[in-house]
Amino acid sequence: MKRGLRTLAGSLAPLIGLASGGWTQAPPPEGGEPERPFPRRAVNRGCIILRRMVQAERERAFIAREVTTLENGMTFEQWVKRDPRRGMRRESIRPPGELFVDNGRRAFWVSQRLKRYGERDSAAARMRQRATETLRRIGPGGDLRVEWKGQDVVAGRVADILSVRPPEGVPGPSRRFWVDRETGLRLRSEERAPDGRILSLSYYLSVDLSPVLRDEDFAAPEPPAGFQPVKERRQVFSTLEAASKAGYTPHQPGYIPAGFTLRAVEIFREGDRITQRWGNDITVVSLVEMKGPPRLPRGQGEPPSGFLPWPGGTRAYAFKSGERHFVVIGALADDELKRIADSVR
Amino acid sequence: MESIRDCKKIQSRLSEYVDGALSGDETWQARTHLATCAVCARVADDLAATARLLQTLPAPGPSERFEAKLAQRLADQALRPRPTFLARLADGWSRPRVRSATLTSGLALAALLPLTVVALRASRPQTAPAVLAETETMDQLWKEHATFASSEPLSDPSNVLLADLPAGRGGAGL
Repeated sequence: MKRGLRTLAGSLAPLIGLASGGWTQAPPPEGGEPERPFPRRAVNRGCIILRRMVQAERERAFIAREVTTLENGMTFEQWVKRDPRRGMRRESIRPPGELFVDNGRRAFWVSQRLKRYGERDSAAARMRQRATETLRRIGPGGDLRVEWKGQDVVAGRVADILSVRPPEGVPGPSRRFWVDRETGLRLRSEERAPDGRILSLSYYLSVDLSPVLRDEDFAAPEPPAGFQPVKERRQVFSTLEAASKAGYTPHQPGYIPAGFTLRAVEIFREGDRITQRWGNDITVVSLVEMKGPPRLPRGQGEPPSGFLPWPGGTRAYAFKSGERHFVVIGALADDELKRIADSVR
Repeated sequence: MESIRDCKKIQSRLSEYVDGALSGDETWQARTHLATCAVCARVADDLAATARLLQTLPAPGPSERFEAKLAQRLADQALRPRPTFLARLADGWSRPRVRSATLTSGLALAALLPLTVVALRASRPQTAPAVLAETETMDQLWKEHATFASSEPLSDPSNVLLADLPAGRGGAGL
C-alpha cells in the first residue's frame, strides 16, 4: 500500500509542480538560458497582460523619466510625456538637446547637436493603426509567443514580466516587458538577440500617473534660429504607388523572414532612393535602394560594403547589384540579412 | 591627419560650400574634412555667420534722380557719333590721369573683388533658410530605420531619440 501511495505521489508530483510553477517562477538568469515551453495557463495569462499593455499604451496619460542602455554600454536619459488625446513628447536629459513631439497628426524633431529640425509623418498614428493588428496576434490563435515569466518591482511599482517571441522557427529578436500590474503601463522593456544577449534596455526611473500636462507640451516646436530644416521623405504604402511616383519599380527581395509584412514604402528625392520596410510587431527590416552609393561620414574613405554594426544590435549589409546600391538593415543575424540581400540580386 | 594642402583646397571652396553651390561629391569631401579639421570648421562657421549677417542688411536702392539722370545720359549718347573701340582705347590711354586712374582702380578692384562676390551673394533675396537635402549617408539611413522601427507596437519607442546617434558607434552585432 505504501509503495502504491508513493508511486501515485510520484506520478502526480510533476503535474502539481507544472501547474504551480507557471505562477511563481522567478525570471531566468540573464544572458541566454534557452527558452522552454510554458504551461498553457501561464501563456494565456501572458497574453491577457500583453493585450492590456497595448491598450494602456493608447489610453493612459503619464510623465516618466526613462533610461535607455544599449549593448555597447551607451546610456541615454529622457523625459517622456504622453497624453492619449494630445500626443507624445520626448525630451532628452542626457545627452541634452534632442526633442521629439508627436501630436497624432505630424511629428516634429529638433536636434541641438546637429543644429537641424524636421517634420515627418506621425508615428503615433501609425502605431494606432498597427495596434489592432497586433492585438489580433496576441492571443490563443495568434502567432506571437507570449509567456509570463514572473514579477518584479520597477520604479516602486509591482510589474509582471512577459516574454514575447516571434513564431517558432522565425528568426529575429524577442522582447521582454515589465508591465505595471495596476495600470498595464510598460515600465521596462528589453530587446534580446536569439542567443539571449540583451541588445537594448529601457526602464522608468520614476512615473507620474496623475500628470499635469499642457497644450504647449505637444505643440509643434518653433524652429530655432539658424537651424537647418531637413527635407523628409514621402511615404506611401504599396510598391505599386511607389513605382508610379518614382517612375520605376523598386527591386523586391525573394526572401523576407516569416511573420514580417510590408509596413511602408518611402520615396526620397523623386525616386533617387526608395526604402521598403517590413515589420513583425517586434522589429523592422528595411531594404534601401539607391541610385548612388551610401556614404560613411567622418572621412571613412570608400563607400561602405558588407556588414556594418550599428547601435542596439542592429546590423546593416551594403551591396551593389547592377547599377543600383542597396542596404539591408535590421536586428537580425548576419546570415538572415545576407539571405535577404542575396534574394535581391 | 589633415595636410595643409587639404586645408587650402577646402578653404578655397568654403564660400561655395556655405552657399550650397558645390556638387554632391565636393560637398561630401568638404563635410568629411570639416568633421575632422577644427581650423577649417571654424572658418566655415565664420563664413556662414558673415553671410547670415549680410542678409540682415537692407539692400541699397537707387537715388531719387537716378531714372532722370539715366534718361538724360542715354539721350546725349544717342546724339554723338560712335567712335571705334580702338580709337576710344587710344584716346583714353593717352591721358596720364586716365592711365594712372586705370592702374589704381585695377589694383583696388583686385583687392575688393572677393568681398564684392561675398556681398553680392549675400544680397540675394532669401525668404527661408536653405533646405538641407540629406545625402545618402549611413547616418541618415540608420536614423530613418530607427525612427520607423520605434513605431512598431511592441518596439522600444525611446529609439526615436536615439535615431540621431551616429552610425558605426555600435557594439558587436548579432
